[in-house]
Amino acid sequence: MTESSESHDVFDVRTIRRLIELMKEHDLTEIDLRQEDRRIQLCRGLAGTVMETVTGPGAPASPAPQPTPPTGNQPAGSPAGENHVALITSPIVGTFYSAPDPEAPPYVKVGDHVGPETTVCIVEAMKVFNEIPAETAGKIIAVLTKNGESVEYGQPLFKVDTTG
Amino acid sequence: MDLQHILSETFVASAEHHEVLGSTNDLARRRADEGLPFPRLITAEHQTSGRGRGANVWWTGQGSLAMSLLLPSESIPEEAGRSILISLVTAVAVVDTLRPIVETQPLTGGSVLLGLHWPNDVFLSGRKLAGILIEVLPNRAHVIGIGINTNNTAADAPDNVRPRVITLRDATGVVCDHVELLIGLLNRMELGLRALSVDPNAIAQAANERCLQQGQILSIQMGKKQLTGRCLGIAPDGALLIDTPDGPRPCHSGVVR
Repeated sequence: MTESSESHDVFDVRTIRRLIELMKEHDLTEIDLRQEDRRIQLCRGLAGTVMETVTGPGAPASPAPQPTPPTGNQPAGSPAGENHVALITSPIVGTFYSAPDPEAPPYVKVGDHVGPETTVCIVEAMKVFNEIPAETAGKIIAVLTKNGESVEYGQPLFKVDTTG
Repeated sequence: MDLQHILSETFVASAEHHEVLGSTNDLARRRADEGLPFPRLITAEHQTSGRGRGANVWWTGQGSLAMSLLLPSESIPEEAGRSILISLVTAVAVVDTLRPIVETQPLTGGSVLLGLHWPNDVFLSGRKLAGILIEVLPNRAHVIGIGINTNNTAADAPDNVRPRVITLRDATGVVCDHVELLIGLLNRMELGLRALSVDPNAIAQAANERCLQQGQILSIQMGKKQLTGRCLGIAPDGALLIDTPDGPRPCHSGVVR
């Protein structure tokens, strides 16, 4: 990524926007840039979404997404620099359901504690309703998609604080 | 229901039958942790709370067949995307089991087309003859729920359901033998499940050959997005292919209208 060597501050919004465009143009899934003691990591999922992680002094304390390409039913990962945050990803292309039926409460919400066998959602494809286990223990700190939305293979669905 | 005959003629290892049950799928889910021999078959003549997609319910009138097959995780390939083909395996098995019954009997009128509506509904003469709902539990055990309108009559169905369903009895005038039907269906499913591991492309190809929607203009609701175009058939990974102005688009999930 030659653009990373430009003299602009990598945290400039215009630079980030340009990086995202380049990722899409060249079908890149990840960019990891460092400037002195600061770092920005951009990950692009199969759905075309781009996630941003910034670490270092003065950076927001947002946990990072899984930086690796989708690998199927890989429920949890440890993003670089945030090894206490795990991701639960979708094992298939399908539709995300947060609850077992439209009238029921969601399986989990932010703040809930989960264990490896806790069902966190359903991903449905071809009328096969896959109940997705957390496969990690901790506290749900983010729900990354909405009920009824399409999700891609390997797309992060939840962030889990494994120290929670 | 002669369960012993079914056990001796099929790959099913244990079975139970109920005259009336809430939902065969719900019972199968509870049975998943009971250490029973798999595959386990659960059948019912009548369900009081049969389930469909989302908030939908499955109507089971007197004389229909409801069943769930509980499969252990090790019987399903772990490769991502492979297990959803079980949806097509089941639909193809149902179509092929019902076809001889339909084709050898004089129909009472209308189109005689029997086939698959992606992903796994079975239609006869433009109406729903059978429905399938598959649940994959967190331990990857699979519950395959199948409802077939056999010896019931659409005349008993609720007003909002009646125009959309058809039964074997209504279509052929024949009362079918549930045991023989189940044996034929389960044996076809066993072959299909084996193909999941050894020849998955053959599954989608078989489904494609039985797909009634080919060439039709379909509208598919995919979450908040809607996809409209001519149906090109079923792709090797099981997706429905829709021809759009931007080229063929695969659809893996959604409600087809």
